[in-house]
Amino acid sequence: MSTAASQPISPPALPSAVAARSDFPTWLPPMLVKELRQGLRTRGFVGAFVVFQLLMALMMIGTVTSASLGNEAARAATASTVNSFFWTLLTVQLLLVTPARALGALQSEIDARTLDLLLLTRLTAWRVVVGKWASLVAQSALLLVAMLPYGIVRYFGGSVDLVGDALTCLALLGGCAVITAIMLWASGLPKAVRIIVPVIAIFGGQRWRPLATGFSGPGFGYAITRPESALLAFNGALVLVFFLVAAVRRIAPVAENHALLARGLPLLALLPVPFLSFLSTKAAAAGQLVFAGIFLGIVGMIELASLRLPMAAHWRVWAGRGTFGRFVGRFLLPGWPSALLYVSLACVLVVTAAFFLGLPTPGEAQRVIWIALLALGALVLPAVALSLFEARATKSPGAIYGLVFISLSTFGAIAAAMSSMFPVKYTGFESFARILPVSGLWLSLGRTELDTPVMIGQAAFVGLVLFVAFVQSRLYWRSLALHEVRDRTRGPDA
Amino acid sequence: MSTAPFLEVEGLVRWFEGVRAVNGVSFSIAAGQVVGLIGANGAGKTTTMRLLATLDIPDRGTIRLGGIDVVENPNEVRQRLGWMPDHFLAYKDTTVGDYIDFFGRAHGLRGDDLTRRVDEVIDFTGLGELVRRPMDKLSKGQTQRLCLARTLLNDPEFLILDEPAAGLDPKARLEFKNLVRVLRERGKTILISSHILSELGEMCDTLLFMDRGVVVHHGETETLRRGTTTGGTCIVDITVDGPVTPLSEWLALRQGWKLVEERRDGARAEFASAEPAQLAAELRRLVTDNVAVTDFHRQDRRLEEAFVEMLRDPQPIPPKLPPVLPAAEEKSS
Repeated sequence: MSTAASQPISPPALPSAVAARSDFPTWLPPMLVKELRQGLRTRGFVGAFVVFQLLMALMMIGTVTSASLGNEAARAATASTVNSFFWTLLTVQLLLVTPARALGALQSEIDARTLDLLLLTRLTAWRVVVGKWASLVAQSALLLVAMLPYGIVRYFGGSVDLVGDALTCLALLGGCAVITAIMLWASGLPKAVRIIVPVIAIFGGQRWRPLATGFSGPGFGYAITRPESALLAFNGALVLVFFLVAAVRRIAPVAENHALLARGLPLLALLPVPFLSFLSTKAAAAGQLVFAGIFLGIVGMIELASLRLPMAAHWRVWAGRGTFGRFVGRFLLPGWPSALLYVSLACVLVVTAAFFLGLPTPGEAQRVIWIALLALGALVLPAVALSLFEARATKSPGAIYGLVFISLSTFGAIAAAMSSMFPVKYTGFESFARILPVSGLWLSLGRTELDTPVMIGQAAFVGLVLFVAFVQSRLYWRSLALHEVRDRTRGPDA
Repeated sequence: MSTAPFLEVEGLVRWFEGVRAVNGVSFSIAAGQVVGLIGANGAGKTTTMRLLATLDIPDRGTIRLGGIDVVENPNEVRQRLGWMPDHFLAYKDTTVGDYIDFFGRAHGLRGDDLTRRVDEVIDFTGLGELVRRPMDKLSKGQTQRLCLARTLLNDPEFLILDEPAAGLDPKARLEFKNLVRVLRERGKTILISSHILSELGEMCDTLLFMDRGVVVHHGETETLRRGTTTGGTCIVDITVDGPVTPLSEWLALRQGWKLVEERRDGARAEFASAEPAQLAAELRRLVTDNVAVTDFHRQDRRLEEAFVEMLRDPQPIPPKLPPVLPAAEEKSS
C-alpha cells in the first residue's frame, strides 16, 4: 500500500468567506461598497451597459461603412449624425437611466425592513443616503468611461474637441449627480408619486433631444468655464445637498431633527442676489432671485406637508441655548406650524432681496410684496387643509398637500382659459379664482397692475388662512410647552 | 451568573395615534439571564423591544442598559446590543458572504479584525458552505442563522431576538435553540419573544408576560410551571400498590384534596396549594396513614395554561403612570 493511499483524504476546501470580500478595500465607506456590489449586478446596470455598447458599436460600423463609400459631404453628414447619436445616448444614460434607477433605492430598504438593521450599526441615515447616491453616480461614471472609446473614435470623423468634450462630460455628470439626488428623495415617496415622476420625465422627453443635441454643438463644453457657470454650480450644489438632506429625513429615526440643514441651506440661494446686483448685471441678479423664490417655494411645500409633532429630543437641543436659541429653535422643528414660521421668514427675505435689485417705482415694490403675501397664502392653505383633516391625512400628508395645491392651480388655469375664450361671460369666474390663495397667486403673476377689489378679496382669504393656521397650530405649540415643563423635572413621573 | 441588574426599565410609556401600545412597563434583567417575553398579538412586545433596541423613543420612562441611558446615549447602547427582528427580506443580488462582510464593515470593523470576526460568526452559525449563495436562495432556517450571524458581528452583550423560531422546521428550531444555549453559556444577556411557549420555557430563566401594554407577570420559569406565583392549586398523580379504595377514601376525608380522576392503579387529584413544603407534608401523611404509595408525582402546568390563566385573571405589576396624559402627546407618533 502506498503512503499516499494510507493518508486520510482531506475534505474539499469550503468556499472561503475571505474570497467573497476581497473585491473592495475595507477603508471604503461600507454603504458605498454594498451598493456597488449590488448595483453592478443589477439588470438595470448590466442591461444599460450592454445596450448602450451595442448601439454605439452598430452606429460606428454603419459610420465607417458609409464613410468609406461616400464623398466628403456625405462623410461630414455622417460625422454629424454620429456626434448627435453619441451625445444623445450619453444624455439618456446619465440624465434619465441612472436617476430612474435611484427611484427604487430607498424604497428597497424600506420594503425589506432593513433600515432598522442599518441604523443599529455605526451607519447613520446620512451615510446610508450618501452611500447610495455616491454608488449611483460612480456607476454613471463607469458607464461614461465605457462609452469614451466611441467618443475618441469620432475623432477620425473630424471636428472633435477633446477638451470641450471632456468639459461637457463633466457637466453631464454634474447634472446626473443633482437629478439622482432628487430621485433618491423621491424614492421614499408613496408609490403613486414614484410612478408619476418617471412618467413626467419621459413625457418631458421632447425636451431631452434638443438638450442632447445641444451638447454636441460647438463650444458647449467651454460654456462651463464662464463665470455664470459658477452660479449654476452653486445652485446645483444647493439643490443636490437639499434633496440629499430631504432623503435622509425620510429614513432617519424620529428623534433626529435635520430641519436646520433642510431649511437653512435653501436660504443661501438668496445670498448671491445682492452681490450680483452690485457686481454683475441686474438681469443675473433677477434670475437668481427667481431661482431662489422657486427653490424656497418647493422647500416650503415639502416642509409644510408634515403633520409631525415635536418630540422632547428635538426641542431639548434648542431649549438649552437661552432665549435666542429658543427663538431660533421655533423655526427649525419638524411639523408644519414651525415650517409656517420658516416660510414666513423666507417670504420676508425674498422681498428684502428683491429690493436689492433697485425697484424703480413704488407700484413695483408694492407688487413684489403682494406676490410674496399671495405665495405665503398659497403655500399655507394646503397645510391648513391637512391640519383640518388630520385623522385621514396622517398616512400620506404630502400627497394630500399636493392634491389641494394642484386642484386649486388647475382651477385657476381653467378660470383663466374660460375667461380668455369668453371674456364677457366668465370675467367674474376668473375674478373669483384670483382671490383664492393658490389660483390667485398664479393668475396674479401674469399681471402687472394690481386690482383693488381683487386685492381686498385676496387679503381677506390670506388673512383667513393665516388665522386658521394660527388656531390649528395651538396644539403643536402646547406640546412644545409640555416638553419644556417635563424637561425641567426629568424622570418618568414628571 | 451575576445578579446585578443589567437592564433596568422603569415606567415605559409609548403612544401611537392615541393608542397606548406600552403603558407603564417596568422590569429589570440581570446580566447573563435569558428572559422570555410573552404576550398575545398587540400586547406591546415588539414596541417594548424596539424601545429597548433604541429604534424608537419612549414618550415617558427610562431604560438603562449596563447603566447607560438608552434615550440619552443611543449610539453607545447600539455598540452593546444586537437586534434580530421577527421578519426581514433578503437583499437582492447579495451573497451571504457579502451580507456579513457589509454589516461587519458597518460596525466599524476593518482589515484583519473584519476578516477574523466574519469568520468567527460564520463558523459559529455554520454558514461556511453558504458564503457564496445568494441571500434570497436560503431556506428559512438558514436565513435565521444568517440573521443571528449578523446580530453577533459586534459581539453584543445584550441580544434582543424577536420571534426567532417563527416558521422554522423542528430541526432548524433545535439548531437555533442550541445556538441560544451556547450564547447563554458565553454570558450573553438575551431577551426572546416567541409564541411557542414550551420552547421559551426550555430556554429562559425568567418569563415576562405582557398584556395590553402592561407587564402582568415577571417571574422564574420553574415557579410559573409549578404555579406557586398565583397561589394556585397543583395536580398530583398518585400511584398505589394494591386497591385504590384506601387512597380514594383518604383523598375524600383529607382537607385540601379533591379527586380529579380515579385510575386502576391510583388517582389524579388536585391539591389546594403548590408549595413544595406543604406537598412534602402531605406525602408524609399519606405514608403514615398506611396508604401504599409507590409514586407521588406533581404535574407541571404547561406554560400555555399558565399564560391563559394569567390573561383570565391578570395581576398587573402596578405601573408608574404619569398623573395626567396630555392630549397633545397622545397624537405624537
